[in-house]
Amino acid sequence: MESLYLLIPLSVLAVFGIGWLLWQAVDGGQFDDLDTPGQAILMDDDRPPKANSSGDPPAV
Amino acid sequence: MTETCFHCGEVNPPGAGFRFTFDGATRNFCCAGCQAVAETIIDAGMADFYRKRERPGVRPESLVPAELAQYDDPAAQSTLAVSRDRETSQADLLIDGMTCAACAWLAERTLKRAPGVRDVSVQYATGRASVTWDAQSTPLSALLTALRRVGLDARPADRAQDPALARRAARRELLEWLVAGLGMMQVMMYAVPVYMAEPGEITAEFHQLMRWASLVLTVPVIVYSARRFFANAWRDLRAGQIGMDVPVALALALTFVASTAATVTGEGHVYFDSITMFVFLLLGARFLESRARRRAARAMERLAPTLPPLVERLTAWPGSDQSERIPGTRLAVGDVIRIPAGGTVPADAVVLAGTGAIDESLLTGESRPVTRAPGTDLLGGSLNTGSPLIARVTRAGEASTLAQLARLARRALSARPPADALARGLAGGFSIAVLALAALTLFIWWPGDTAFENAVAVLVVTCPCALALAQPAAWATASGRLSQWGLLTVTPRALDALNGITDVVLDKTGTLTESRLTLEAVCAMGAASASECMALATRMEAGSTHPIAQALLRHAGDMSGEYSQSPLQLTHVPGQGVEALVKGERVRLGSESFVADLAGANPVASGADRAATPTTAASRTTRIHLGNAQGWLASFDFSTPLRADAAATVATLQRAGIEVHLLSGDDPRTAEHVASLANIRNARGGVLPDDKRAYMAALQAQGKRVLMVGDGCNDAPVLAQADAAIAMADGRDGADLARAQADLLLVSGRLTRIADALQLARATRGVMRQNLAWALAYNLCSVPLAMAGLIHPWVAALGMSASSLLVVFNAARLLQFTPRHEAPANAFGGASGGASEGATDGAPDAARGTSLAVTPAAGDD
Repeated sequence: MESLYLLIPLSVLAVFGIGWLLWQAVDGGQFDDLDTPGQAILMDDDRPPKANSSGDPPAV
Repeated sequence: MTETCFHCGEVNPPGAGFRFTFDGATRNFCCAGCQAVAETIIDAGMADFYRKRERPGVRPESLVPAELAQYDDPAAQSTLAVSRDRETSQADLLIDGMTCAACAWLAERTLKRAPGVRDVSVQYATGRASVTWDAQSTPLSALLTALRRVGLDARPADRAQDPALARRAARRELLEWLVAGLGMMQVMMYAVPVYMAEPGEITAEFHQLMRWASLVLTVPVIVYSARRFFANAWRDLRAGQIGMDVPVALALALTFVASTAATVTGEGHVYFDSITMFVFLLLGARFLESRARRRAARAMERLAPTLPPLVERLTAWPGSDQSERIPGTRLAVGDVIRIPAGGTVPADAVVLAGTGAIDESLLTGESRPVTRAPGTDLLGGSLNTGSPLIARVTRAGEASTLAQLARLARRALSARPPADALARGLAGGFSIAVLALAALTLFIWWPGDTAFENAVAVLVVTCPCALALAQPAAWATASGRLSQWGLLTVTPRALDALNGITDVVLDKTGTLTESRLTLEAVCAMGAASASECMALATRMEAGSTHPIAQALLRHAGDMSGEYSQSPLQLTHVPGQGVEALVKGERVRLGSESFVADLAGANPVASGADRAATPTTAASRTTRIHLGNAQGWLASFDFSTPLRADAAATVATLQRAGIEVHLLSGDDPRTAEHVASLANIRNARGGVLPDDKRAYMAALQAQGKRVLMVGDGCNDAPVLAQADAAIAMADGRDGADLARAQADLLLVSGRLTRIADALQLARATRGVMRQNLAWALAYNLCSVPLAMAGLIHPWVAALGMSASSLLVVFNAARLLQFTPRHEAPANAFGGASGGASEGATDGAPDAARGTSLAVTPAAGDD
């Protein structure tokens, strides 16, 4: 049972850590558009899709 | 790295989340509008537009976050405010952080008290305020400072900043909610073992440790997530009001202080689990409500023109192509501009050169591009999806059609429906009652162990939110849905008025029929072929704004034949027609007598070939002639055809048990002909506006509720007499619309939406009643239980939040509302709703396309 003296404070720290991660995610715009990504996956595209990461060169 | 918008080439605002994959690469967009346009274009198989276009749109000036004082610069103010008269100006302000109807009230109050302010109207739905004030004595910054002082962050509506502002607010709301959720989950982890354990199973030290852990996790929830409730409550109290946030803030503060005291002293109950859950669920309800509100507002904002910040003005056209770039706001009437391929039309304009495919979906909801040839009108805010155009500005900025429409719509949103004001008054009184009941509960149970707990339960369990949210949520969502359909609500009573309609009275010209003339037939009578005559007539009328000329220009085919190239010398004879000198030969286009003066008597007796007029002709045919000294060349028949969906709409209305009437100023025979085409049993022709009003009054005297559908200006007295009125807004300019006495404006020109709107009005009333009934029933049941001490605070928090959620969800159903169409062949059902709405709406244009095809066929005989 003594381990709880360590585990409970650790759980509090973990919550703050998760909170910080959520803040990063929200601030990074991950939750800005909750509708389009869900529909984008249904879109027809003739060309074979290529895996893309963020940080593409500007379009055009 | 700065990203540029794939569509318009503007620099994306940092962190803009609008992405779309095309040609195997992720493209970023500056705004949802650009993204939607790009998706539409690519989905429609027109992706080559992006591979082949000449260049992206214009680049914007860099937007430096301005200090408040900079808004006072006369140049800046000229783009942000409209001068009403010599002294007063009018500006729209964006107010950040308006979380409830009470905040709108506060903003309104604050602005009204500011010196020099004449009129204020704040809209909760879009977070905007419209202010009319004395710009001579009070700088704009003084108003903004006044709002800042009460905790409202305001800035003048600047469309470039708008999306970023809304996004920041949405992110903040989401994060507040998530923090509360995290806190709730972990606090529950500490609370549940205590509830489950047998007495003594958890030793006192661990108990105390978990209390401290709960306290540490509750602090951010109170300080960060719940600060809105405290701020709102404080604001209400300072304004001498008891709003619905006061009981909430009081409950939170009391329980938090009591729990903290219990933790520090190690005696008494802690309610950290109840606090965090209450905040989480409450924020969840408000998050969903503001999401629904944002969606409704976005549907409305679609109509606000997003004009390009920089415009290419041709300084010496047609002499040279010399151009300069000026801010779009500085465009003036008469300026000649170049609209690049893919560019937005910056103002209402008339095409001078080039033929463009114009996407007017902003105004009409019609996603299929329409062709615009020289001499035809362009609407500001529409998108040039074809080749570059040269155009002359006819109306700029706030005078443009789109700006007028947007203004009307915003005015309607800001005026609250009477039912909403009632509900808010009710909620205010309710909050006071709740505080009194909580005090009473404390008094009754005092000094028992559970006195405090029971009083808090009363504060928490009652739900004025459900009461206060019930009406505006339903109303805002329904208005949003209507504007998606191209129906703008102009008056606050609009949705109420549409309920219980028993009779629909339709006007003929411009309502049941198209508002514009259409070329029905070309009849060649002499040496030249019909297409040659057509080409000649088109060239003679190019640049004219007369309705007949416009109709001719819309049907302009490719220019070929001997008349297409030679120069013309035009002479206009007012009221008669136009005469041209072509290769030294006089040609006249115009009325019968005008042409007969040159070409001699008409070989075809007037009216002899009326039988050839197609049956779609729904009104008197207008005919003009073309002739030269050698004889008559051709005659052109114009008419206003029945709208493609007129018969379907009448059928839908009649199936719904609604009596349809037709009243027309045209002669009775024409009116009856049209009525038979549309299947209307009650038709009257030759009636004057006053007769129409009498007819309507007679119907109303029989206890009928009448909906009038007319074209606005000339029907104004009739529209005013009706129980509800819809004005047709396609093909009219904004000034006309502003004068219309209508409750709703139909901008899409699709009559079936009228039947849909009636269904939606009924559904909205149903939702409002359900919401109110629920809120009342819930509160009546829960308050006595809480006072009797039967409800623990955490159950109270759950019940109250679930009640708010239910109300908001119930209202949100209206945004998905799909009208039932019993006719299987009906192509107009917006069944898929939402984003794909535009794609299903191609039908009327297709129908128009077939009527165009009449022209060459008729011309060949």
